[in-house]
Amino acid sequence: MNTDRFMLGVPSSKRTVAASLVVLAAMLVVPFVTTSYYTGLAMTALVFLMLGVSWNLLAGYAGQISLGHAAFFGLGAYVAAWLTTPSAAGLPAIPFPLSHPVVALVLGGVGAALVALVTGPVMFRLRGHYFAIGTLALAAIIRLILTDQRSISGGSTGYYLNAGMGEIPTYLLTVVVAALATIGVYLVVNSRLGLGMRAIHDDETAASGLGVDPLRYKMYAFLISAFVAGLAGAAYALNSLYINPTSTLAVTWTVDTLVIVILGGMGTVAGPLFGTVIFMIIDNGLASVLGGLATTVEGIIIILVVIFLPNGIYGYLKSYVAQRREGDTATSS
Amino acid sequence: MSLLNCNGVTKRFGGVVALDDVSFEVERGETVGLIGPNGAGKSTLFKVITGSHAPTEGSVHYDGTDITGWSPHDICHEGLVKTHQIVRPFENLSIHQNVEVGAEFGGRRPENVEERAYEALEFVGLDERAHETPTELSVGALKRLEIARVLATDPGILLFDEVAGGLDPEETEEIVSLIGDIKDRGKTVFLIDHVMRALMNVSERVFVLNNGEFIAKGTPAEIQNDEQVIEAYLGTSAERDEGPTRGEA
Ligand SMILES: Nc1ncnc2c1ncn2[C@@H]1O[C@H](COP(=O)(O)OP(=O)(O)OP(=O)(O)O)[C@@H](O)[C@H]1O
Ligand SMILES: [Mg+2]
Repeated sequence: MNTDRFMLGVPSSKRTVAASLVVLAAMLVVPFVTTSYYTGLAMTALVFLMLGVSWNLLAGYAGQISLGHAAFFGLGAYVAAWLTTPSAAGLPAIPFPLSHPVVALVLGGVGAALVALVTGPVMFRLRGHYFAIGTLALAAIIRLILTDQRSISGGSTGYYLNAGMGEIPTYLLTVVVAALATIGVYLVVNSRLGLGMRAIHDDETAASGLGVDPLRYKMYAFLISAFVAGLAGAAYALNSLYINPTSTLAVTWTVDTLVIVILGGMGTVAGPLFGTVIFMIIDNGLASVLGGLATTVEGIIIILVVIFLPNGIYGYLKSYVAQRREGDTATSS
Repeated sequence: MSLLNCNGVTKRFGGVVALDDVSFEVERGETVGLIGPNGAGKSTLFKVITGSHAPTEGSVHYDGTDITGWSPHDICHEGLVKTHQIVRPFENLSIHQNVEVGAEFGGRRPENVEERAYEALEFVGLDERAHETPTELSVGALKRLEIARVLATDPGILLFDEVAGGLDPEETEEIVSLIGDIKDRGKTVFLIDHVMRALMNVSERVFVLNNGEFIAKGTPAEIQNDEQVIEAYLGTSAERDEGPTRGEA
């Protein structure tokens, strides 16, 4: 039996699987039963889910706080734009399989992962807060370069994509990719790779004394995380069909991602899911009720969660359920 | 050829000379004790051997291979492991997973990881708590978890840094018998203790470190009667001999 090998903090019951399938089915029918406004919201939620899953793997599991995720997101968006609509960047025509939106989306992830592959060994010379600052600087540099290179990024005028897959198919593709990314990261977390990452997260010195090569497992986390963030960016570009350096590389993407994972619960697979739902409700619900005050109230809610529910909302629910169970077994025995 | 060989090892931290031209050998299958007062350099020596500090000068050889300046994970793969003076469990992993890290990454053969981790837990008597988190363990149990983790890497030599430090006599006795069992498995053991106690009686030889230098090497009996040791260390105060005088630093 290999199932509970690495399972601490990971839900694995049939009920969880059933609930996930229901959510997945609901997401798939959204464009057929609601308006395009709600489909747009659902698309945004999926993009945030992918970003949350991505950041959570690196920070929540491998313990490496990145403040540069907007860079991977933006790169993914631009790679998808260049491949599907090369003429807008003055690029020669891209042959068919590469220019197809599905391939472009995957390559958006690959492009982001390549940047992680090249920059990771340098970034990971920095530890803790310095790594965080390093990634922030990396993102700033990438943003500067793209903003500066108007011919390939569209500058502030932006970049119009001509992806030609239609609104609903693109949305459905996003649902599938988000689900696969979530499942993929779930499998990684529960594998040998995940064990190495979690050991480093808890104590890098102890881990390396037991044979874990810290750089190697940080790099695995960085690559996979960048890949998923790139997918999110590419999905965003293909859905919105218009991007510019500010809209895709702005630090707000990183901040919102942090908020989602911290609200939901770092280092848990369900955390980003819960965080995304709560974030979407707060972000959109509050704005419609409170108008200009929404951001302030949002900030207060986040501070309260961090103070009173340091393990996030999913973390709180999990320990609440565990306590109830313990109480039950104690009274029944 | 000896299993572990340190040659002229010096370690300086800025102006502090923690180790000063230390040389010694540990033979295969031997159990060697290392004692010395606070700040003598004992932990530093273990950290230099297992790669968390590079020596300023000198070399470390293991089984004929020069491992000076290697990274801790490479040294672990080579067969040298160390427990920590202050326990360092992975707090978000289960007790079983803590040991799996050693079994999975520490050896050259990551097979039957689950079983091997379980065996190591059984060996130290923590198998029934395998699915709890280490935060629920007592200091004594945490020390045994440290031992289980390094054992799971299937090492050639185990370095125990005050593995009985801060424990009561009963818990200390458990650790002593564990070390006896480890010796019986043919492993080489190198262990630090703060004072000449039960742990030293499992050692065939004892080294005494003072101010970064060896001041004596010999059998436990010889060390207990060595004038210089008594003066520099054991005899500094009569009360100290009565028992552990110090919590863990
Ligand atoms: N990382 C470090 N940086 C600077 N100085 C250090 C460092 N580690 C140890 N030292 C110094 O080196 C000397 C030896 O320390 P070490 O921890 O090896 O002693 P020890 O024999 O293990 O003592 P104890 O019995 O208290 O554990 C001390 O003076 C200590 O302050
Ligand atoms: Mg010490």
